[in-house]
Amino acid sequence: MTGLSNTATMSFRYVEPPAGAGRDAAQGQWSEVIDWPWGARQIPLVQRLLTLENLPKDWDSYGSQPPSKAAIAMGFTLLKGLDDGGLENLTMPRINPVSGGGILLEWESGQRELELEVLSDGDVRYLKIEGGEPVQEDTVTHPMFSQMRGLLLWLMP
Amino acid sequence: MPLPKRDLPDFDAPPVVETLLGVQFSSTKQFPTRLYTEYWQRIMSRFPSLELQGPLPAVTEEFGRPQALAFGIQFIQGDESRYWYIDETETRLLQVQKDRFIHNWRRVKDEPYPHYDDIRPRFEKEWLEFCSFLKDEGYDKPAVNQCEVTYVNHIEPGTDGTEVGDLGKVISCWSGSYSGQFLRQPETVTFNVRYLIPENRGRLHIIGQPVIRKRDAKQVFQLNLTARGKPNSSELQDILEWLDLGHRWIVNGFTDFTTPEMHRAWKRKEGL
Repeated sequence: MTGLSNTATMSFRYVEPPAGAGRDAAQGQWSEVIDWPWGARQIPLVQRLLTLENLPKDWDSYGSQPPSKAAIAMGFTLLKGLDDGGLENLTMPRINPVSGGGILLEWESGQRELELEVLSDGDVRYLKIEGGEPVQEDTVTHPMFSQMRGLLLWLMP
Repeated sequence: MPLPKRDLPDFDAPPVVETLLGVQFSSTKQFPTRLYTEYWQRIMSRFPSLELQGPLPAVTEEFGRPQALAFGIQFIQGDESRYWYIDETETRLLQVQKDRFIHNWRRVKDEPYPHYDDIRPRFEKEWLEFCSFLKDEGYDKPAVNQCEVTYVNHIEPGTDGTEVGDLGKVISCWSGSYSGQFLRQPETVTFNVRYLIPENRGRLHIIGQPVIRKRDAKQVFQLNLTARGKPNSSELQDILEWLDLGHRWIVNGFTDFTTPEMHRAWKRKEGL
């Protein structure tokens, strides 16, 4: 067994005040679920992300891995953020897997298109297109939703 | 200790997708990583897979006084992780951490739900073996301070004849009607209800919330029933006595909390 030390570890941690016993009632649940208290419009996309997460290895016949946990997690962050103030009227993106363990989210709004490619490490490569022509592209490392929000607002008229 | 008589409500097709029997305990000595790996050697033939998880916080049912706050910086020795020992079918799991021992069964495909008569002896066997292992390693018998029984139910809209917001068809005490005509069917409903088990023996918690199940990306309404409380002692017979009590509260509680219409959909057995 690798990665497991036989020596006792010592560490310190910040201890959170306990939540109520009721909130913690089902603590040891094994069946994995996603708590989804937001709008119904995101649910098909959540289901899409879960489907992508369960893709088999070599799903593209070129030996690619399924989307990584980091890429899927960033996908969830982006979907959650779409309920933020100012983004409610944004259309929902198309979501597809990309080789190398990432996912691609694509929006269209009039003449503008935005592609966010979430890489396997969770970083985001974006491309803005206007009138069919690329106008800006870059990579955001360790992205915060506030940065993504700025890109999404560009789509709004 | 013999199993309790089968006199509780019973269903041929209950919506149970997971059951959990567990204890919380204190130990006079730390659990180093070595202890968990050696325990794994002991049970590896039955539980060949190992995963590490973050620890569960301690939860104790308190009565008549506010819950104590554990707030501040703690220095910790030993391994704080929660170890998951998983069986080959991926339907059974043992969860062990410095103060917990939990046995889970979960539905992965369409496996029949194993009744309590099947689950309790499995918990008993594994708990006895764990205590025996601790003894061999020079540990005192764990001092059990809480027992817990949890049943996780997934009510699927459509297949069970319901919509996610249409709780009046599922929950017996949810009338679904309003004093006026302003509000319509809610988009979502979540609730957290708790009942006292008499003589301060514990509580039954019922938590309902809409969730998306990861294994098949289905939208379901999750209804969790958890009974938790302190056994009379750390002796096996007292632990089993409390688990039987918790199970009784869960089954009777589930039956009372849900509607006869759903009981028919879940094929409640005649006379029980």
